[in-house]
Amino acid sequence: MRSLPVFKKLPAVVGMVHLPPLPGSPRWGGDMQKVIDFAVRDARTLVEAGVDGVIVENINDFPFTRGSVEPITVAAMTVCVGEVRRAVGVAVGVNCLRNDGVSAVSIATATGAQFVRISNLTYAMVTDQGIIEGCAYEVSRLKSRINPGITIFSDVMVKHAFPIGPMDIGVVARDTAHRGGTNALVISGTETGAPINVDDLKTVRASLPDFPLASGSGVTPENLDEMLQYLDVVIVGTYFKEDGVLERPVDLKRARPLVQRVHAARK
Amino acid sequence: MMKLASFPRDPSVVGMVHLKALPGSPGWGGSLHKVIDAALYDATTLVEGGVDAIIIENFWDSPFPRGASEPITIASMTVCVQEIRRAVSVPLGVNVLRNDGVGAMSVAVATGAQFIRVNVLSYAMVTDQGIIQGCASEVARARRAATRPVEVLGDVMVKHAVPMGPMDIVTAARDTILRGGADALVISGTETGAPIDVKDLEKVRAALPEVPLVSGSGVTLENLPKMLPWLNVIVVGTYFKEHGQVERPVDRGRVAAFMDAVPKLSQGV
Repeated sequence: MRSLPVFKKLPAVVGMVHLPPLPGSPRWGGDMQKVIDFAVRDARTLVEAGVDGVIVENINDFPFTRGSVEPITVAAMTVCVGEVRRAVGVAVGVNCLRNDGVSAVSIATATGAQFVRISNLTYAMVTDQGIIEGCAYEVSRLKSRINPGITIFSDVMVKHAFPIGPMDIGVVARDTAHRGGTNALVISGTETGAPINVDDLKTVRASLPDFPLASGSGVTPENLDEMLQYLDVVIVGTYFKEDGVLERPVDLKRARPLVQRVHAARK
Repeated sequence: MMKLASFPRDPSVVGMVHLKALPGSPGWGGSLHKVIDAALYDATTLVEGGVDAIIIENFWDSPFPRGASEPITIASMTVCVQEIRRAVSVPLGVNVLRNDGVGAMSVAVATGAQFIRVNVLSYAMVTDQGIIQGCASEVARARRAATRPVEVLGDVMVKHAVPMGPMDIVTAARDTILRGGADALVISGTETGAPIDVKDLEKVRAALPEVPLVSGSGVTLENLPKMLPWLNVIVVGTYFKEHGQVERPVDRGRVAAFMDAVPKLSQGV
């Protein structure tokens, strides 16, 4: 029986809170309160739809750095995550793109957020930011120092990225789980909104029958039933937005039925 | 006199909120709630006592890094500043020790704090952390991300530090303003709680008559008459604590007595 400390029941649904551009990023609009209000509204809508958790992510800060984000990104995300935490009672996660696991754990620790998602914990991928290497060493040491109880979700062969050479997703998944120190694995398609290759899910599930698996992109009502055969956590971003457009606010009418279907799949 | 948006009154009094050890630092006690509660107690007590503004500082995170602080420090300070901003309405300042001006600017921009203090903005000093170099270029660039102006109080020949060779405080002061981008100068004694050498104040005031001067250490009710004529902003840390002990909570009676004395002495000037 698979379990995860952050979610009482599985399968669970997690909705994305995609932050508008933050201060310091190229498209920053100049009004921090507007950023906070947008984030809190999306978080509240997701909770009204019944999600079990939300992930707060600086998705609009592109182009991203492949290394550590600037202090202004840490400070601004901390304010947003803190305000989301005040507004909703579900588990809150932090993803500090593109791969700043240390900052994500730091923000989560300071705000009391329960989990983080890290794009590349082990191995290395060629991404739109260049070569990104695993950060499991730094993350696991920081975790043991400041927040041993935090839950880590980590991608396996993350989206918007290619392996540097031949790479077996089953082996990478096992190493990320056993040597990288993650608590759950995230499997995604090739990019944001793209469906997951079912063969990948089958391979990882066969490789790790008892390990929690989450979807990282492209879950829709059409493929949900098939996905739920393999997944313990469904992370939904794009599909929950108005008209399925990433930049738009979360749409309660789209989110609620899908959440209900996931919850109905619980045994 | 150059006007500071963060300090409409001249003189203004600023009280220090010395944060207890934050997560990641050696003295961290395990509960951020306790850190926040102590900070809120000090902040509200300072405001009840009548201060014009507050500086929030990671005072108990020693030993400090001489460069950028860890992300956990920035995140924790952001949470503390945000909570204080919710509780009080006076202008807030941020100081990320030992010299993370970019971190302080970042916390200020994200939380809406009005000003920062930077210990070594220009030149370089030998400190208990090693050689600390000025960060004026980085701070000025980070300030561009601000929604509204964040004012910079820059120390001149900061405390707990010695110059690397012969150094003229007047030249350092002028460069900190004109080339470093500081909006006001902080003058302090040799260490926390140590009184300022009045000769330093005289020299800097004579050279820069229009620049706001800020005390950075050692002002007490007793030496206030001697210090006040030179200062536009009085930052008080140690003296406002119970029994004048820096590790104790803020003492409302000490703050109120000090705040009573300032206008009386100012009128006498």
